[in-house]
Amino acid sequence: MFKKLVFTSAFAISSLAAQAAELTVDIAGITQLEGDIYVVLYDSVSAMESNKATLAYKGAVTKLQTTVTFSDLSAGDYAILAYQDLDNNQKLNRNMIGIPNEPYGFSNNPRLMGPPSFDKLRFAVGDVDHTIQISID
Amino acid sequence: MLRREFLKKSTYLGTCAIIASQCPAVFGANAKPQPSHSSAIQSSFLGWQGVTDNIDPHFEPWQGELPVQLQGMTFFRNGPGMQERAGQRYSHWFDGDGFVNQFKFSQHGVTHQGKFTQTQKFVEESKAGRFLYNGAGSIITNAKPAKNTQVFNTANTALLPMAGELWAMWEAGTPYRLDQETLATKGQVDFGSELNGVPFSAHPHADSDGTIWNFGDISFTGKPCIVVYQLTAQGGIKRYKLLPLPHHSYIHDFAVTEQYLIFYLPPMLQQLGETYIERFKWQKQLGSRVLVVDKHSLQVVNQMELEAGFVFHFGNSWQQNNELVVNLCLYPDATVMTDVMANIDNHQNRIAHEPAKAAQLRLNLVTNKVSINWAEPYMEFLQFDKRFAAKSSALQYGVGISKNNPHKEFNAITRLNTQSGQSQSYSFGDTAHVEEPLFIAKTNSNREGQGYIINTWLDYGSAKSGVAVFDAEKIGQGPLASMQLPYHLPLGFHGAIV
Repeated sequence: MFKKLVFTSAFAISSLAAQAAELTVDIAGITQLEGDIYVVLYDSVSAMESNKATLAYKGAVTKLQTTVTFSDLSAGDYAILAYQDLDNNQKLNRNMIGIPNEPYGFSNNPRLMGPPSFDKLRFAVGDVDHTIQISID
Repeated sequence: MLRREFLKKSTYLGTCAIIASQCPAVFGANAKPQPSHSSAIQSSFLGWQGVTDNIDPHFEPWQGELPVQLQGMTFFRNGPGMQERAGQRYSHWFDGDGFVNQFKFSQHGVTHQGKFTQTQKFVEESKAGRFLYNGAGSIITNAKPAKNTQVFNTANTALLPMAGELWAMWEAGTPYRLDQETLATKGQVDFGSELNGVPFSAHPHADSDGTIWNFGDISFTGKPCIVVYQLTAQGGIKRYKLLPLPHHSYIHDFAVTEQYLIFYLPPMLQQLGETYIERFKWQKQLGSRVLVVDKHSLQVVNQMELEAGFVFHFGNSWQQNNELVVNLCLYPDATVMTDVMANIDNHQNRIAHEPAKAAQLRLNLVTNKVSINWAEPYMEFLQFDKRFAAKSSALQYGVGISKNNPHKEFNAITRLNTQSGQSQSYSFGDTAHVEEPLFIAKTNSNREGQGYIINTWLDYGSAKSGVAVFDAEKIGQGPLASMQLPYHLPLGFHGAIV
């Protein structure tokens, strides 16, 4: 499901939605020019809980700051997980208790007190273009 | 088989993979500034002020005579060093960056040096010139989200000599490797990607077969569990297993007998809080629990309930027929961690709380009943003659409080005979903070207790730290050899001798 949504060659991904804004995601905190950046976007609590990405981006890391654009995004609330797949195994590596040992970050860059609920990561996209920054360090 | 079982458990946790990944962020929350201490620090606070730089080698002669056996040995101590950056001070003693003191013993004196362990946190924050992450019990302004526990691993708690190196350990992350000679940091211990960053307590214990047992408490992930490790004598992973706990708790140390691992769970359930420490809720009415884990199967074979108490450290423990005898330092409650250490600059808290007393639990494996025998002396940082590890023994050593001390602060070394109940102490004075004693068995001896006791202490009255060496059977007579540096060191937690 997730992989089907990953367009490896595309920089920007267009959804099938008829209208709405462009979302720009600035990825900061990259310290190693290795592997790929994944930016995974969810549009609801259920999508996030079931790990069903609404849209996803994958691109090689060639510089220390990367900008990803999602075009024609429907107005609504979204949450984003971004991570760097350093060893190109197409997943976010984690240790045995589930803590990632590759760089990652969330929309809103939250200091969370528990599970990363959709609510904590939620940001709104309206009719105008929108930019957010996610730090993965 | 264990691995499969383990993976099954991992999958269970994996369902909240990212969720668990966020749990370290419990250490982050709304920042509130901590006042900087620059004036009016009571002199008794000296040991918690911290240091800001490495300390170059300094030689100081012995007063008295160092036993020949100890000449050429090196004594190491670990503890929180950096307590303040850019005007922000940690409030919890647990949080200072790891600073290792090395004392090289020669016939004539001691050469001391001290170095910060170059953890990822220390390097990053040194570059930034300020604290970047909240600590386990301290909140700093504009804290960065902690993506995993390793980013704020201070490596500040204990030391384990291992394969010619020294492991600097914390309790919620992977240890760092140090050079024993130079104290240079050589990187993290490599336990493999599955265990990288997984809590590994600061209290590993060697078994009679040379293997090493340890655990890591991962309850902060929201799943009350510990990871049990068995390491080879060279520090490689022999096996590990995830073990569910009956409830969320705080576990700092454990006991090892010939057949069992023993875990004491104080009644500290999870609550909302801004820091890791604030998330522990002491619930006396629930009482404490003891888990007895079979070393072969790594299964909980007994679970016992007892009156509420709190424990950091254990002494020697062994099996006697159907009973397990467990020596420990027992507190009536957890205020030492949640209040006293959490506000270490509060002098009144420090001197007024009820310190730990030496105690002995007897766990009946048939009836599941626990009896507690409280000893008279206040004691912490228990140590014993390791030749008698997991065997019946009588002698426990630790820091103590002299009878005439007006404060309830550890200012003495105490030797307790748990069979007779008698104890002897040596006081370093009313302005002393005394640190963990280590026991070294005398060569060519076999009687329990034939050995030396080595400890550090801080005299905050004279602002000097020192090292003392006792005959372990004659502690009351005072040190055989001692030396005081012309400067003071931050108070630490645990040490090692090589």
